[in-house]
Amino acid sequence: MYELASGPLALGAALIFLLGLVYQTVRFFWLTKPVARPARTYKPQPGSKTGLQPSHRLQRTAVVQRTVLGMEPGLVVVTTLFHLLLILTPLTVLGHVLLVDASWGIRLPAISEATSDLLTVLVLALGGYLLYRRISVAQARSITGSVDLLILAIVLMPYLTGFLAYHQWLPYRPIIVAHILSGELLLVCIPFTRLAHALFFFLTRLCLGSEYSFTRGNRTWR
Amino acid sequence: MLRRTRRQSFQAIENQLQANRSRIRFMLQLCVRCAMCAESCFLYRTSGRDPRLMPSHKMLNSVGTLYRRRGKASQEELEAIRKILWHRCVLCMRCYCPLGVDIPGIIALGRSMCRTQDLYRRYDGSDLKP
Repeated sequence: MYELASGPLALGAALIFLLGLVYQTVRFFWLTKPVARPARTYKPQPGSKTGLQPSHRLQRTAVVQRTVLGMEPGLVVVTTLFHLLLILTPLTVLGHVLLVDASWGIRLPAISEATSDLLTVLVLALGGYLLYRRISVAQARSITGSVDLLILAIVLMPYLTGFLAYHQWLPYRPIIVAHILSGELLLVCIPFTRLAHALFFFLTRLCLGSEYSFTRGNRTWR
Repeated sequence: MLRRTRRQSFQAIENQLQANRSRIRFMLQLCVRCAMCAESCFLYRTSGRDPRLMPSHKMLNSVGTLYRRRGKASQEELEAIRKILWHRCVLCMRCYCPLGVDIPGIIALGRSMCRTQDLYRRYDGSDLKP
């Protein structure tokens, strides 16, 4: 089972993941259209007598305040940290770095096992908080379905099994196979479920000018 | 007077759903149900923070419902959707989604679908009576 999970299944999951991302990128560009880039800065009307011409800084502050960053800064910190660790932790775990090196000869930067262990616990704790929020906060609960809980479980499963495999509190062999399979399941799910926001977040934030983007995007929804 | 049959009415919604299928499906997938759009709605903020006034809740329970039912909603459900689209949203277009979901666009599309069923805001107030 280990050979199957770490061989053909891993290759299949990686292929589905990459092709799925390509498909979703094409889909995004098909559903948006190019528009003229908005002006870079606020230009006050010449001859204004109000004396209230906003500076660039004030304008920027006003824009930030009406986004989620200005309204729920705590939640933004938690979710940003969760997503960053979700990506960085598996890429820097020593075991993964050694496997990548042995397979393809690519040397990725690794961090100590103790640090990886700590980051994994942090991912699980932050994921637990998001689960708690989904259940306890009325606003989130009102739009949460069983699929959302299942997706959160799919996301956290590789981290939980990886943590258990590292500490070997349970029989190692089945846990490491479960770890590999759950990681592959996550990869397959990313492009075809709501987890596709991993890709769409960057596409919408960087390309769309109409949705409070990070840049002056030159596209909008069709 | 020309009166449309129920079947023809559903067909009008189905046609609009079909024409906008890719867009609706994409938006429903893009929404991760995080509820972070809530605070961007002034109606939500000034009405006791009722979750039903969250932009995502309005989108999912109007056009989302029509999409799931393939346009075949009962009269009561259509009436509930009408109330969501006109009484819980003023289409001020200030709602903010961290992922860029075009919530006002979908709400406007939902209104367009409702109009095919002669469902819209009655400005004489008759639709507010129980």
